[in-house]
Amino acid sequence: MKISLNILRKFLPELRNPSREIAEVLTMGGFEVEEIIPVKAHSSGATGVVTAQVTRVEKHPQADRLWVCEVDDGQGTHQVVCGAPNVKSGMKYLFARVGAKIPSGGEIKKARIRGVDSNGMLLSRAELGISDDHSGIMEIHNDTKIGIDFNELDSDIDVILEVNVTPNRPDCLSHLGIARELSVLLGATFVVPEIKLKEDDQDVSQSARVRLLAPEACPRYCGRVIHGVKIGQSPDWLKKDLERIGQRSINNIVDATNYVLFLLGQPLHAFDFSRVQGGEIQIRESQAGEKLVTIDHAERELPPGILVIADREKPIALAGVMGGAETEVKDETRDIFLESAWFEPRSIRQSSKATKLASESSLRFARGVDPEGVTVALDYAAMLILQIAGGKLARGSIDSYPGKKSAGKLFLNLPEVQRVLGVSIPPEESLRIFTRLGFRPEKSGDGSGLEITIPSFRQDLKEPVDLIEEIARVYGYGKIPPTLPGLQADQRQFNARERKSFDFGKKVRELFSGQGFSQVITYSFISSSENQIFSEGEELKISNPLSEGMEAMRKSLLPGLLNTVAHNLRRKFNDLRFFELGRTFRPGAGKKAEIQETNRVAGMAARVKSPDGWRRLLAQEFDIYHLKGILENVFVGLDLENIDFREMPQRGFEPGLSGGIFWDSRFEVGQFGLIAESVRTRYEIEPAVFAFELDLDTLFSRGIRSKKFSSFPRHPGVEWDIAFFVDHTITYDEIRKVILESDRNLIKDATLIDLYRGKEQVEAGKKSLAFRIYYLSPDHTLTDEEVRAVHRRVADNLRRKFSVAIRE
Amino acid sequence: MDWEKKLGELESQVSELLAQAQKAEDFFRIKQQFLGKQGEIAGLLRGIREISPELRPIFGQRINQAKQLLEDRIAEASRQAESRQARGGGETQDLTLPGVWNPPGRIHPISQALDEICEILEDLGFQIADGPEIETDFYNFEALNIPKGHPAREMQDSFYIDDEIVLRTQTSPVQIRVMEKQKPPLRIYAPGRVYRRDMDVSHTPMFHQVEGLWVDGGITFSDLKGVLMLFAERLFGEGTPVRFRPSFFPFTEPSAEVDIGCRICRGEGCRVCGNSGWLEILGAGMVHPGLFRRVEYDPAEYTGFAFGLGVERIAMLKFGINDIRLFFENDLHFLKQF
Ligand SMILES: [Zn+2]
Repeated sequence: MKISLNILRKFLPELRNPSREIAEVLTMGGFEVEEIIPVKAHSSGATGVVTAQVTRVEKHPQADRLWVCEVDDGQGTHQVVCGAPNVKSGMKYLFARVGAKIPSGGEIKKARIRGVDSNGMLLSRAELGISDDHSGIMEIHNDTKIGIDFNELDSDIDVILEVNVTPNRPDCLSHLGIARELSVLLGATFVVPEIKLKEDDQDVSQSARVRLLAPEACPRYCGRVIHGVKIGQSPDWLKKDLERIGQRSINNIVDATNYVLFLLGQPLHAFDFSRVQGGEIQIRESQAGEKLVTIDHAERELPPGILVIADREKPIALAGVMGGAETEVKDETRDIFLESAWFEPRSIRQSSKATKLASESSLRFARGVDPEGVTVALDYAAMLILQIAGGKLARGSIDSYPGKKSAGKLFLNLPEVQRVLGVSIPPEESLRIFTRLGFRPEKSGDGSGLEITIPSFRQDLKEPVDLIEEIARVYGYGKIPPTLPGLQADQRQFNARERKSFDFGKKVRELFSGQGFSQVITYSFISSSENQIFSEGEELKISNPLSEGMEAMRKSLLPGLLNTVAHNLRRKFNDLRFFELGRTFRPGAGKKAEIQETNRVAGMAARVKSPDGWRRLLAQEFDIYHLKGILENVFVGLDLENIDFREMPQRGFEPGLSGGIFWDSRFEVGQFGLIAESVRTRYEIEPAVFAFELDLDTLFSRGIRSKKFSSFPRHPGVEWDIAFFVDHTITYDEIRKVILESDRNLIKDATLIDLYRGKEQVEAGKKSLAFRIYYLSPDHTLTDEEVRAVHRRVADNLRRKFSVAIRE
Repeated sequence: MDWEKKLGELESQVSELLAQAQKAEDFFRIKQQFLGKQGEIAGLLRGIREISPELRPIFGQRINQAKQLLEDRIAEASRQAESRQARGGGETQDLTLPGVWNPPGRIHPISQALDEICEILEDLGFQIADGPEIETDFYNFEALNIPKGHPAREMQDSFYIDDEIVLRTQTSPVQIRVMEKQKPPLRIYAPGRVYRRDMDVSHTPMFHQVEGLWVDGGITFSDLKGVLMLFAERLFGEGTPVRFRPSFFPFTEPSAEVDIGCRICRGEGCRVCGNSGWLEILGAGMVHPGLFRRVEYDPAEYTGFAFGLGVERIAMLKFGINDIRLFFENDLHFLKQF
């Protein structure tokens, strides 16, 4: 919210602190100042105004309240007649020379005032267009040189603070509220602006009638009637004030109500009273089928049951949110009904939500305005309208207030202050803070506590701890000493499983990055159609996605990785290896408890090349066995065993070049393979992409082997090779199994050391394999004869099972 | 037979042959001749029957040693020849040539920042806790003193699955979930993804938070200050100015926002800190008694403080990143810098 220091001075006449200090004090008091915006003199529109010094002041011979001054403007001295009470000899002011143009209108001419010549004019803030302050001429700092053009004056004519008001403090969505806080935080004098109203003889009840039909939603409704206003432009000061706090000037009536909103925090509305049928204002709920054209000229069908202001026939405004076009103040408006009310916040929030409309008014009503400030604002606005738009104010005001609540009270047990804050604040200090805040604290009989009456503008205070925050805030967070509670470790480890699971994920991360994969983080939401690429079935949809393509909670991490690969291919990168750790989501049968969130890791490799270096030792085309090797490597690093890879069709992958990954042959824990061409095309990815995805939760909870020592033989083993031709449909796994089972006691391992097919030496439909078999006896060194016997059995088994032809 | 002498001869024979060998086939042939099934060593072994039984273990051991030695020598010579060939037969090695290595992948800067944060919290005795990313309205709002219609809901535009199910807007619901299950004293932290409906230079619809909670008898706002000052100094360096200013969160009272002195202008005021000289790093406060009542802790017995921080914000400050969206674009130009 924009706060003008000039406007603040209405409440804090002595506010002279530098704007930086004011900002600092507000920030440390809980009202963060996000920006300090100085308003420079050159925006005033004045010409011919200079700094000048009054060198002599004498009483006007003919008039008590006028002075004859001698003014030095750097070029010479001028005799000027001045009526300001604050003119003093030796002080410096802003001086309009003869011929100058001033923002408040007009050119300065030579004049003769009560028989004395006056050549120029000393200016007030109002005349300079800085504010509406007419109370005296504007003093400037005595260090300022004289003869400087006002437009080049370095000092600021106003400073605007952009203040962040937290939602619990609606009372500070106004200059009044901020001024009240500043007076407490700075210890400055706070004054309430005086309201003087000249009322007409005719009583308001003679022309207007208010029927409060929804007292729950509107506990207080007040109004005044002004006849014969003249609609026109607002005076310069008002336009400028509004502009500086970010508001557009509309006409004098609307500007007056707007100004009071930002000044006092109470939203007001002015109706063209002649358009209010029967002069009757009803506050009621809307009925089915009712319509209203709002001031934005949109016709709205009103949802039934929201709070409206109506005349005898139909709704004329959305209460607290927006006025209606028909009763809007227009150029021809003569009589106005001025509304000031207190609406129940919940009711305004409902209206705002139902109509999707929000305004400065609804914002304040929805958070809660001061129910006791309603009439003050009404009177202030009436005074302002009379001043700038003329007219006659009907006598008295309507005040329908069935919902008046007695002031709230809270009891604060003083030892609680130290228990929460950790610092001992003397009770007198607490008492002083509350008094300054406008609360009425009273000491309890035994002195252990304070009974505090909460002012009507502080409806956010509901519990004693809220009062403790007030003490801390005003006392200063900075003054509370930092302490360290005992840092000894807790004996109980509550979250051992979470700790391990978190570390497991970290280990996965280290292992994949060790394999050249870079970690990425992609959004958890993707498009619905992408979500179907790798898995069928239901998905969770976001009812209000940020944009198209972000509407579904991902069931797989792979689409995010494809986008990452595509992005980096466009950036001309080679060697793309990425992985992501994150959750996937699946719906249950509609209840939250059944939503499944699964921690997964997925990765992708595309256009993998050996480094373009001087030695291409690793130059090999990346293929599915590299991918599998990487995964196997990671599984070893994670202490996972009983993992097998099975060729089987995977959605979104190339058939024959993809498969499932199983733990203990039973649980599918992942998939791997070559991404299908159609999927690549969709992402405009040209090179082959190998990918995998693993379910970390299942692997973590089931797969980790328990480590157990078993003794091992100290004798050397021997390695014998065996080579043979075999039908190419027979898999490595099948063959290896037969070899190992030929002698479970002596054969410890069998490693494939050669594989080729389709060359001249190999018959069509066959392949040539060579295994290196590791023989080791648990209790003695094997002799050649022993090994030869087992080796022969291996060959026999292979021949019998697979009709292999052994190569010599 | 003097097999000891025979072994010596074999060794010098191998050395001679290796000195002349050039190509891979040469090495293969040498290997066959000495170490093959019909090779010299195998021949020696076949003579074991002629050795008296008590000497046989010594003999076997010696043969195996010799075999290993020859294997190593052949392998080493073959490697040297290979590398000689690679550098074109030059005499001395140019050791300024780049090393041959397989570059590892990078860890995402968010993970790196998160690791650092978690490490500090672990050192301070906080234990990790976890919760779902898709939450019920109750845990994300109601239980945190944010009933329907509360103005604080406006501060966080949320993603909804339906009226009652929401993508968590903060990690704070983990506080409630942990307190429901465990009794004080407790000291936990909860890292994770959170979601808000917003996107610009400083907002993304998904980001990461870390939540901390310490509940016990006698925990005070002074403790909150002490612990978080220590945390900030560990994270941003000793002597980093830290200030606490009043703020508002529905689930803490009193609430504070914690700033550190701007690292760029050293407090003078610059564009990064909006001329204030301070940078906000986290929100904190004393746990609101309403939360305790909801999880059946006695607010008269226990007090506690909670804090939450945005990991992206910390990473941006630490690494000097000016656009939060870069984190999720995953461009290698970006990822490779960390
Ligand atoms: Zn800075």
